[in-house]
Parts: sequence; C-alpha cells; structure tokens
Amino acid sequence: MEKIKLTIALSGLNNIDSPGPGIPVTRGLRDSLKIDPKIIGLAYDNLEPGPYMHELIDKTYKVPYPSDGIEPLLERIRYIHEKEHIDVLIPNFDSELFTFMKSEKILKEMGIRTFLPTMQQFEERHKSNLPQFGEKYGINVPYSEPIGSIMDFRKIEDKFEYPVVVKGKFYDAYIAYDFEQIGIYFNKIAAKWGLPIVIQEFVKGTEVNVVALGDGNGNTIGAVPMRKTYITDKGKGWGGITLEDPVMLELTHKIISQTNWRGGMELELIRTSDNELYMIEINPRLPAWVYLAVAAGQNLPEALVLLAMGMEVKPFTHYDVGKMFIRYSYDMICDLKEFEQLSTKGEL
Amino acid sequence: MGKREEGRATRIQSETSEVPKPLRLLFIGFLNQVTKVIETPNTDSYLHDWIKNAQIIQSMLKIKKNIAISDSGFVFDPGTGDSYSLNPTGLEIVQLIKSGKSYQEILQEMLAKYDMDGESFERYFYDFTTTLKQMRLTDPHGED
Repeated sequence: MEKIKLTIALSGLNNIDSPGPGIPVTRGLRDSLKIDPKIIGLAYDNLEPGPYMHELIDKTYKVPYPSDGIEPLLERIRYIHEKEHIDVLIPNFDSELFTFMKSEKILKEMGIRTFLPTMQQFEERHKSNLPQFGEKYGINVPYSEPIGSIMDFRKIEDKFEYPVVVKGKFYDAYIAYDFEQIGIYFNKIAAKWGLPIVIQEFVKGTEVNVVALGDGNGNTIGAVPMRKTYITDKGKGWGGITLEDPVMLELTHKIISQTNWRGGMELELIRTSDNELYMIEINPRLPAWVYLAVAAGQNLPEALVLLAMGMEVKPFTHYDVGKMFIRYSYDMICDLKEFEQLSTKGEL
Repeated sequence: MGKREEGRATRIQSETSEVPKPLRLLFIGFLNQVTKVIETPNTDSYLHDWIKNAQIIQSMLKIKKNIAISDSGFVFDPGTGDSYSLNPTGLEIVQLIKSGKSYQEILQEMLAKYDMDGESFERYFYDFTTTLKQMRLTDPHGED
C-alpha cells in the first residue's frame, strides 16, 4: 500500500527530563506504514532538543507562547502554513490546547485539520471540576477543591485529612503534610502556572496510567495501560511496563463512550490496596510515553492523524503485555550555526 | 510467539548456585534489587503460628493463571507489572504448585529428591507460600 504523504505540524519538542510528547508522537508517525510524514516542529524555546533532531523533525518554526494571545499564534501558524501547507496540526501541551481548540474553526478554514477534544470535554475534566466529573459519570475520584488563596483552604480544611495533594491547573503536584507545606507549594505552583490551585484528597496506592484515543463518537480506537517502573524526582516516568488490566480498560472505554471523547488522552489512576481504581486526572492529549503504546502494537499517533484526515480507523484489538520502556538521556552535539539560525530567524 | 510469551521471553540471570542440602530457603526476591533472601524466623512463637496455620498448607494453593513463569525463574505479573526472581528451589516448588499438585504430593517429591526432614520443609513451605500470597501471586479464590 502506498503511503499517504502528509505534512504534520506538532509541538512538545522539549524532549528533556520532563518531556513533552512531541518527539514520541513523531517517532510513532515515522514508524507508520500508512503515512509518509513531513514533520514541522513548532518550538517555543531555542533550546528545545527537537529542532536539532533532524532525523525526526524536518523543519522547525518558533511560535509565540499561548499566553501572548490567540492572534499572534494564528498569525504565525498562517505564515508557516503558507510555506509548508500543513495538513494536520497536533498540539501536545496542555497549556496550548485551549488556544488551539478555540481556533479550530479558523484552522479548518485555512485547511489545517486537528483532532482535539471539544471545549466541553476539555473543561469538565479539569482538575478543579474532577468531583463533578466523577459524579456525572460514576467514576471514583478523590475529593478535591480549587482554591484561589491560601486562606481559602482554611475555610475548607475540615473536609480534608493530611496529607493532601497540592496541584497546579496544568502541571505539578506535591504532597503536603500540614498547612505550612500547603502554603509553600501553593506559592510555588501559583507562581509558575497561575490560579486556581487544586487541593486533592491523597489516595494511597500505586499510580497506573492509560493512554487512549477516542474517535469523538464514543468509540475507543486504542487504549494501553501502563505502570511506571521508575519515577524521577519530578514525578515523571523514566521507565514503564504495559499491563494486562481489563478493569482499567473497561474504565477507559466507559469514560470515552460516556463523554464521546475526541482525541488523545492519558488517564492517571491510583490503584488502592483493595484493588479499587481512583481517577486522579485526565490529560487531554497523548502523553510523553505514547511510544510505548506504539511499540506494544497500537500506533495511536498514526490513528490520530488518520482520524483528523477524516479517514476510517478500525479500533485496535490487542497490545503486547509486558512491553517496557526505559528512558535515557543523550548529549546531542549541535552546531552553533543552527542555534543562531533558530534564535535569529525563528526557523531551522 | 504469543503475546504472553513475549513478556516471558525476557530472561535474566537468576541465581545459579547449587541447591543446598539440606534444603535452605532462598526462594524468592525482588527482581529490581539484588535477589532478596527471605529470612525464616525460627522462634517458638513462629512455630506456634505455623502449627495454627498448618491447615493452610494442607489446602491446595493456586498460582494466578496470568502469572508468567519462565524456566530461568523469572516471574512476571502482567496485572501489576511487577517481576520477581526465583532461585532454582523456589522455581521447582512454584512449578509443582502450578501443576496442581497438593501439599502432600509436593512434600513427597521433595523428600525423595532432597536430604531433609518433613517438618522443616513444611515450615519453609508455609513461609514461602505466605510470601507468594503477600506478593499477590496466588489466586485468592484458588484454595480448596
């Protein structure tokens, strides 16, 4: 079968110790037997490794931060599209999803396809809305409340027992054992990711995750459960292994079918010693460990692109259990000329 | 090769030392560390507990169906992703349990093969199977 030539733009090229999913998604697309991709990297920083990984990324453009507003970003995308004729755009950061979802229609008019959750799906799974989400869909979630100031917590302190988890709206989570620690983590996270901060009941157990893809009509195109076998001090998985867990898969199917989830997602779950599953988070995009799913037999990045192109994708029916990943760091030697080009011209 | 076999295909270097005589316990240890030796307590209270729980030994223990055990002694639980390393003696006993043999049958086989007394074996067997249960490698509904 002849491969379809597609130009795919994607972000998340920060393949660092807390990696974005851009490079793993790209690896999945490079492995595809159906797509012959031209990968356009969208970088926010001159030192993201992705732009210099020429065997994976064909061309990189710097883009403005989402916090600069929708218009500057769209203007830049328009410029890149004029040059590259983007077929599909895959935003890989939580923090940029809102902007791209808001711009979905404009992008479509430009001829750029995306495959993102709807605004309703995106909003209702927010960490601050998790209790309501759990209640609506009949899923165990730890009790949580958003707070706008540290004194807000004083008003709801009775509802919690220590330790509690202090979480940022996009990233970061810390376990706090007393009020003083909540204050420290509140300020630390708020300074980086803004408000609100979410205080969540601490559920003791093992963290397990599922990467999945919904077609927007309630069907799960693929889902692979995993347990992190090595976790860095930032809480990131530096190793993982695919699991055989029908209960986790059933939960994933339930969430996707009830929400008609569209796009990639990562479910973060805690399995207690009583074997109960609590959902602690839904990340509305493919995670950085998505290449494990590809290696286990489910090329979810490829499926996502085909769905974005309006093509029929049959759901995956199996994956390899016991497939492992071990992340590693690697000192890539880069030419100063390339750094100069990305820094000054915004293109590489 | 099936999907499960692929998981089992991973091989690690297991303990290769000779089976000690009389039998000593070095059944199971975590894979991710140096193989851990489970020390067997040898006190009166332990013995009392052992007698109290002797009934458990008599029941038929079942290893969970989905647990993969390779010839090298590598044990993989696909439900949790945990893996363990058995030494040759532990592997032998797990295989006997997995083949559906009762405690009495296992005891007979081990007594015929190794220079040891039944009482010691029973104590070690109980200790070992308790560890297997703690590791959730046994079927909680599998006991007769």
